[in-house]
Amino acid sequence: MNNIIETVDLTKIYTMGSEKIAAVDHVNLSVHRNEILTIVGPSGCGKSTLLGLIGGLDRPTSGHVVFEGKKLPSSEDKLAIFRRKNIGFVFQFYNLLPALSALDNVKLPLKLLKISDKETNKRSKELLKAVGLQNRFYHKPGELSGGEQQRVALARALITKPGLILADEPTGNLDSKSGHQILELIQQMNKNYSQTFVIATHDLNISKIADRSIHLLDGRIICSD
Amino acid sequence: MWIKFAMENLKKNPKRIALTSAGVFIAVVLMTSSYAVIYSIEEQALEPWRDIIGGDAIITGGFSIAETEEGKYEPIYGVEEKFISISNTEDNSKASFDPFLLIPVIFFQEEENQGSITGRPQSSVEHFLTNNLVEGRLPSVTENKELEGVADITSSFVKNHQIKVGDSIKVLIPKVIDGRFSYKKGEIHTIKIVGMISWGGIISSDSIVVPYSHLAEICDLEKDKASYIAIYVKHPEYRNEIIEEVRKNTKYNVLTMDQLFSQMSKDFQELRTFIIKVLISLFLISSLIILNTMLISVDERKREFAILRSIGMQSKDVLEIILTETFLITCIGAVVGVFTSWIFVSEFISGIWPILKTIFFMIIIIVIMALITGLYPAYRAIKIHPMEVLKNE
Repeated sequence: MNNIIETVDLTKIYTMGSEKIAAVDHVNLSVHRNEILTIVGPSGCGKSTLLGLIGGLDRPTSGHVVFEGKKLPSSEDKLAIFRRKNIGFVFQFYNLLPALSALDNVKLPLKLLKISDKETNKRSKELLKAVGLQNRFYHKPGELSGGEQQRVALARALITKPGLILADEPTGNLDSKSGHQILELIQQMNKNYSQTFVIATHDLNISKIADRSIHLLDGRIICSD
Repeated sequence: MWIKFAMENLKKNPKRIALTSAGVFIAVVLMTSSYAVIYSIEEQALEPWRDIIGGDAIITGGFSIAETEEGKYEPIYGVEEKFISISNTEDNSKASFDPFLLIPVIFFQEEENQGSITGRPQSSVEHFLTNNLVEGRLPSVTENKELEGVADITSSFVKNHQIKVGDSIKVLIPKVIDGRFSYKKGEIHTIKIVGMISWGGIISSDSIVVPYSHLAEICDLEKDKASYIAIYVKHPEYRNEIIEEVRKNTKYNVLTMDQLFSQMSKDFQELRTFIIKVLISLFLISSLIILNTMLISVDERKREFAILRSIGMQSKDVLEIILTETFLITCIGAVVGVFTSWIFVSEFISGIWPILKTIFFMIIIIVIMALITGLYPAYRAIKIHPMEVLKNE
C-alpha cells in the first residue's frame, strides 16, 4: 500500500449563527508514504482544519479518513490512542508545556505509551541531540528561543516514530534563519527515518522542500502539483 | 506517573494553593475537633456505666435499675429501711434494695484540692461496703448533720493527698434541679472520712460513699424519695420475675443495664446529629473551596490539556492528573490540619487508639473529599476539544 492516508469526501462544516461555513469541502486526498506534502493556501482556507481532520483531532461532518487502509475510529479515546501511536503534531506556536523542561516535553508521548523510564530518557536525549539541542535538555520552554522551541516540538512529534507528521505552519512564527533550520530538519528526518510529512503553510517557499503540493481555497483542493 | 507533572502545576500558582490549603486546614481542624468533642462527651458520660457493665459480676448475677416515671421521685417501700427486700411469690427468692442508693463519684481536682460529685446508682453497696471495709466504720447520718463518707484506700486521690480516716475533704455537691444534677448551683461541702474500703475494681476507685438520705437532703432530693433504686438480684435466674414484681407493685420503670445504656446513647443522638450537620457543612465548604480552585486551574490550562490530548492522552490519564492535583491540594492543608488538631484532640480524647481512630476517620473523609471534588474539574478537562482550543490560539 503506497498511501499512508486517504480522505474520502472529507467535509467539515461550522455553523456560525444561522450561517453554515464549509471549512473543508469534499476533499479527496491521498498522501503517499515517505513523502513531504505541503498544503498551501491563504489564511482561513481550511488548511489547519484539514490537518486536524487527518490527524483525528477533529471529526468530519461527512466523509471519512482512512489511515493505512483503516477508517479512523469514532470514539475520543480510540482517536487519542490512534494519535499517540501514529501521528506527530507540530504547531505554529510550538505548544510545549511550559512547566516541563525540553527533555520532559519530548518524553511525554513515550510516557503515554508506557515505555520504560530508561528507554524514554535515552531516546529523548538522542533525539534532542539530533535536533541540535544537546545543551538545552533541562531548559523550560520560556528559556528557549522560538527556533529552539520548535525543534523541541519537532522532537516531541518524532519521538514515537509515528508514520505521519502533521505540521501546521511550522515556520510561521520563526525568523527566516530558524525557519530554514526547521525545514532542513524536516528534510533530514524524512530522509533518515522515512517519515511522512504533511505541512500546512501559506509560505510558498516551503513548497520547495516538498515532493508534492496541493493548493486549497475555501476548503477545496484547487490544484495539485 | 503524573505526580511530578501535578506538582509542577501546583507550583505555578503558590498563592492560590496556599489560600486553598489554608481553607482546607481550617475545615479539617474544625472537623477533627468537632468529632473529638462529641466522641469525648459521649465517652465521658457513658464511661461510668461501662464500668458497671464491663466485667462486673453483679451484672452477670442479674442487675437491674428501677427508674421513676417522667423523672418524678416516687416513694418506693421506704428507703430509710436498713435493708429493703422484695420476694418472688413463687419461689421466695429475694431482691434487695439498698439504702446507699447513690454513690457519689468524686472527680478530684488536684490543683484546687477539691472534688466535684456525681451520683451513680449501684446495687448492693452495703454488701460491698461491709465486706470490703478495711479500716474505720461505715458512714451514718449524724445528729450534727456532718456528712460522713468512706473512701477507697487504693484511689489516687487518697494516695496523693494521704487522706486517712478522720480527715475532712471538700467536695462540690450538686443540687438536683428537675431531676438532674446541677453543679453550677451546687455547694462545697465537707465530708468526713470515717472509713476506708477497697472496692477491688468493682467501681471507680475515686468514689466516696455517703449515706443516701443525707446526700438526698443536701442535693435537694425529696427526702425518703429515690430517684434511682438499684436492685441486686440474689437469684439471677429469677431476674425477669423480680423485674415484673417491681413493675407491678411500684410506679417505677425497670431498666436492665443494657436498656439503660442504650437509652443513654439515644440521649446523645441530638448532639451527634448536630455535630454531623456541622461536619457535613465543613465538608461541603472545604469541597467547594477545592472545587473552585480546580475549576479555575482547568480553565486556565485549557491549552495544556488540548496539547496533551493532541499527543494522545486518554480521558483516564486526564482524570488521573486532575485527581492527583486535587488530592495533593487537599493533602497539603489536611495533613497539617490533622496533625495540628491532634493538639486539640488529645485534650478531649485520651489514649492513642481513639486518637488514631479519629485521625483515620478524618483521612477517609479527606480522601473521599478529594475524589469527589476532583471529578467535576476532571470531567471539564476531558471535555476540552483540542482542535477548538489550539485553533483559537
